[in-house]
Amino acid sequence: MNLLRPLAASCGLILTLSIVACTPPGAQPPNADDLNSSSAAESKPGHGAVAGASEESEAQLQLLTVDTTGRVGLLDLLDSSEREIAHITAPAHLSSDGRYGFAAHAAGVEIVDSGVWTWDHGDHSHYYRSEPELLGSVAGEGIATVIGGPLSTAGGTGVFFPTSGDAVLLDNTALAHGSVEELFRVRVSPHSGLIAPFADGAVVSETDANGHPSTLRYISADGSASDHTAACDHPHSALHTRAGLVVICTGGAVVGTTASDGTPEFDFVASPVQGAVLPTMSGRKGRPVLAGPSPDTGITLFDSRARTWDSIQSEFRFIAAGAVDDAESHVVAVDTTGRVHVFRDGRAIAVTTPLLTATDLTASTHRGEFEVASIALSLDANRAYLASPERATVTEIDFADNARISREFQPKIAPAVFAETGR
Amino acid sequence: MSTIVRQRVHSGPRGIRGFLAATVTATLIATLAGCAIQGQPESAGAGQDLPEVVVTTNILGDVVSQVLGDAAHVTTLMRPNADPHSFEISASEAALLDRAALVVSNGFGLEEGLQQHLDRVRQAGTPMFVAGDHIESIPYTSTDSGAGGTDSGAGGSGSGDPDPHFWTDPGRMVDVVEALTTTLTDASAVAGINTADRTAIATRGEAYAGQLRELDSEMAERFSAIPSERRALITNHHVFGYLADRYDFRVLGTAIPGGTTLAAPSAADLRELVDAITSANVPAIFAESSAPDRLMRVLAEEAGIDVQVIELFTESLSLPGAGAETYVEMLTTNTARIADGLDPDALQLPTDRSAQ
Repeated sequence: MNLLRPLAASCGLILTLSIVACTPPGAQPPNADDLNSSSAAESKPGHGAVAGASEESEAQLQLLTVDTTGRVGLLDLLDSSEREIAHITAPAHLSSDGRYGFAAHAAGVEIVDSGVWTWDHGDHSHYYRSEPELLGSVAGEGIATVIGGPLSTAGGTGVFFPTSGDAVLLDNTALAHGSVEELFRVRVSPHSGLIAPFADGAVVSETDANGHPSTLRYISADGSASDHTAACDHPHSALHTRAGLVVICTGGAVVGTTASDGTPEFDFVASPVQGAVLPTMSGRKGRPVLAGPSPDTGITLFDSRARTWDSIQSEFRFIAAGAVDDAESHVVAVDTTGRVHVFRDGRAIAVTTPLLTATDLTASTHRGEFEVASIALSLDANRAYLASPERATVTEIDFADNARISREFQPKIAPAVFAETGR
Repeated sequence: MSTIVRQRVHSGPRGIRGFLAATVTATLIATLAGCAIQGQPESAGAGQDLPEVVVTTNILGDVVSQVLGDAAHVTTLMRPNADPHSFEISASEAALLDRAALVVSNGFGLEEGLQQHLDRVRQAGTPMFVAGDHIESIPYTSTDSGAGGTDSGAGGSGSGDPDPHFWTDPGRMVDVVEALTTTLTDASAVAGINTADRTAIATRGEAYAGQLRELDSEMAERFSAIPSERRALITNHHVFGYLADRYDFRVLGTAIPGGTTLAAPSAADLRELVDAITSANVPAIFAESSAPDRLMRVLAEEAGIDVQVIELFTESLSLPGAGAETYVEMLTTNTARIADGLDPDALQLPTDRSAQ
């Protein structure tokens, strides 16, 4: 609310948002008709339809780790083999869409392609593997918030720089071809905000006259601002589910979908606890249900398909949580002492011993004016992964089997930050 | 990581919207439009004067070629081992579609990535042959396990959409071949094929249909030797509905543990699979797994179950020599693998599962 309305919508210009640069609409990625890429694929018998990549029979799950000196490693969860793949500026934060690692430092984001990804077909998936590589970087000011799209080979990835207010939409098709290209870069007032890929473009957070982040606006693929907006008080996390884009705001969540004619539609679903500052919520990639720590104790759940909020009561206070959203509604959460709790159908079923050290638990990252706990918990259909940067370990937890510790890894490239890829 | 299994697959453009947010659909289409990969090498020296027949999948490409012979130039958009749902075409292939004398597609939403091109050429008046229009379809039977990526929420069902994988039943392919032969020999339907060629096509189409009928009875014979209580396909493939329909199999889709979970398996990982194997009492399962040996070992050690893990050809022909170079070879290989796997006692020779 209170957003400044566009003065001339037809020009795509608004007061709080001006276009800095954009590529022409519908620009073809450079490799679009590059027959060299086809010969590369055809030279390898058995390869699937993605140039240079092989189609595999199951998810090629890997742990992408970056140590404090910026060395980047990949640990293969299928055979436990390890390799060093790149050296980058040591990041403050690492995010991933399940394929690329987006390593944010004070002056930009470096992008690593882990070379493994899952292509979500809705009712089944396809799994691919290619060579991992360092793709390049995106320059900006401040520790960026990066939000990926549903598919790593199409659509875009949003990179928001809080210090300059630059909101960049990267071209995932270009990333898949090995180059970092910006579909557009727009500038809004500097704030702790976000840009999330959506429809053919993205939604970008905007501030009100007092500099408070208050609105989401749809920006189309050519970088022009639209009149499609949604009120969202302090948007602070966003992810894609099969039911649409979910942006968590204070007091509720915005679910973004597109009508059959492509028109963006935003639906604000107020949280039952009015005015509550909702936590960062997460879930298994693509699944509709998200979970996050409740403000005091217990877990908050949001079903983006049913558009309902729910909660799990617990005496414990949590610092990270995620919903597996499987048949038994497993939810995995980390408490303030570093123990991992598993809930099934809303009931606590198991808890581990502490897997994090006191140092791990107090580590945090400044993003804009906010301090974010550095706990990274990754979930797939069968296992959860939690890293202890101080102990340099990643613990694999079999949540469906009473939170059994199924494996513990000590990667050669210590996980100062980590992400699970191949998902 | 379990591989999810459902029989209900390939919802097609309309159905897929139930599964994916519209945004996802948009990006799927964007992929197709935005990047083209693997230009089909135009077959060298293929007579420029011959009519162009463009076929989407490589299985149908083989079938069309068998019927057409050298009466037309056949271009198959999908290469060996490719996935019909995610392959993409180049700008030159899109142009080829525009000047085709006939475009042959599978239908039932299989070529979801290509649909916009198919719609475009149809609107432009290019003759189209949709194989699915000429068979009696069966609906998907949903076995949503919900365990690893299936979407059991609203919009995730949609049972009743036709199953596009009719090629697992050669009987239905006979229907397609007959209809295709009729179309190709109709001078008003496909331009550029002369009278002599039309006669040859009629002959070849009849012979090929006969070959498929023979294969159908061979398959029926092989499968009937499997004790009926064992005629169950425990699988993470989602394409055998028509085969099951014709030869009286049960298809038991299930979650099959993958490499990561097999490294440190739990009872929970194996429960669903073990239950399926135990209740069906079969000596083999038909799974895609990068580590079939490890899966067999884990099943034996953790559950005391001794089964074979056998891979089948599902949605694409293989490269030459790999067992499914042609449609007939694909069916022959799969038949041998299924029959040998489910009825190992009947084996006359030591198992060489890669041989047909």
